[in-house]
Amino acid sequence: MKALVLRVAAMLKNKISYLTLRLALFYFVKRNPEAAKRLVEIDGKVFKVVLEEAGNEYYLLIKNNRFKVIEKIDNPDGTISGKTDAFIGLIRKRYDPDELFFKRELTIEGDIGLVTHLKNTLAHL
Amino acid sequence: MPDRVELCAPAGNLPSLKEAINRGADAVYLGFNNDTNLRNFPGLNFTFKEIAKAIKFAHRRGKKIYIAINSYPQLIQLEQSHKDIDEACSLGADALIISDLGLLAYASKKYPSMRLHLSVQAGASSAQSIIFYQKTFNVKRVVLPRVMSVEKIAQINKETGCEIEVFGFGLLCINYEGRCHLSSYLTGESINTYGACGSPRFVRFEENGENLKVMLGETCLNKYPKNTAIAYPTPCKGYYHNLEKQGFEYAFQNPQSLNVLEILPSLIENGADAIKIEGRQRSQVYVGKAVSSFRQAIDSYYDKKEAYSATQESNGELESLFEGSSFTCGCYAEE
Repeated sequence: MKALVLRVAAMLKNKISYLTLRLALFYFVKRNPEAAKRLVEIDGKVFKVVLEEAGNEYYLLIKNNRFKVIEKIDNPDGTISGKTDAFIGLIRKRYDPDELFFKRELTIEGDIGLVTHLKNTLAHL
Repeated sequence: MPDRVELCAPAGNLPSLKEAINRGADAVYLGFNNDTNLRNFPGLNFTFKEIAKAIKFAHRRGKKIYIAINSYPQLIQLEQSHKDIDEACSLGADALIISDLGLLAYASKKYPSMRLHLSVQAGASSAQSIIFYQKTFNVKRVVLPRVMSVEKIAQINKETGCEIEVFGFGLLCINYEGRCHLSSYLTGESINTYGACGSPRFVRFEENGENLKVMLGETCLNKYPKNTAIAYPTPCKGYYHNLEKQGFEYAFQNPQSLNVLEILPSLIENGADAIKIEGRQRSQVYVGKAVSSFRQAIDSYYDKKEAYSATQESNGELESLFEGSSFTCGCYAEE
């Protein structure tokens, strides 16, 4: 019984983090059409977001100034990994991304120019 | 000048700008989203429309906007630099921050009433040099390199009468800005032409389980053991093999951040008219925390004078933002 509860709790947490991510990205574009125009410079690029402790991976495609969550691909252009709390802290503006980067609570791989572009574009939120 | 030292904050986007002003900055400096300024990171900085909004927001609250057009344009970039100066003036910026002699000439001739600040990138560090800029281009303020002592600042203040802006918090650049070519040497791109040292497109992070290898172009800057703090991937913070000493060392500088809270009274009393927070590449969170701490400290200095002390609280708030494990007053505190 306890195992089942824990499994359901984990599933719910994953679902919540997934929905939070989608919602945050939706509102980013909706509330910042001027800033979202910058996404055209990384149109067609795919970023992998890894929620470390949950073991979840999401693949975000930038298309037509919007974010689209897509199926797994083999070679994303950039990868950003961290704990769920780090991402939620960024979305809620409790943390500075560079501060997490220095502490290695947020790690980045792949094309760093593109990841930096994404980070800076999201900062316009 | 106002009767209190001016607090000048960075902004790479509108949310940071609003945060800076709401938290107590007197002025905010920013740049266009192109290579005419020296924080030309992808996705960062302001469009023409955003600068218009920024100026409106600031002026309604009695605050100032300074626009950095401080790269050294190559011939192909010159038209864009002139266009940005024209646009900044047409939008009502309070000052332009420029380093290039040609751009200073263009701006001072075409817009004689526009206030000009000499960018730190000009590397002006002697009274003679500053007097040249004052006389030739009517420069009103100089942003001094982070490599000068308080004593030297006092001397320059006395000899030039020019307004002085000093860096108070953020990255600690150990070179005379504008004269550093380390990045060019490793990547072919210089901060003075493309606006970023250690441009992100040349950076690679390679994690192999044991170490995090940081590459800039074909040069390995560092191999960090697991769970150790890391620094920005710039050549000056590389951990290099010293052939003579047969060992690795930070050949240029340890990754440390600048924080002058402890010597703030000394800087003000020796001629600083403005304290600048570095970091247009940082987020709204960083700007908010840094501006709050410095606003509190500046007000505390003027209200308490003799009783001023950098509080643990202020330093604690800033500590989480540091690059490296500690902060320093840098060269300011040297004799």
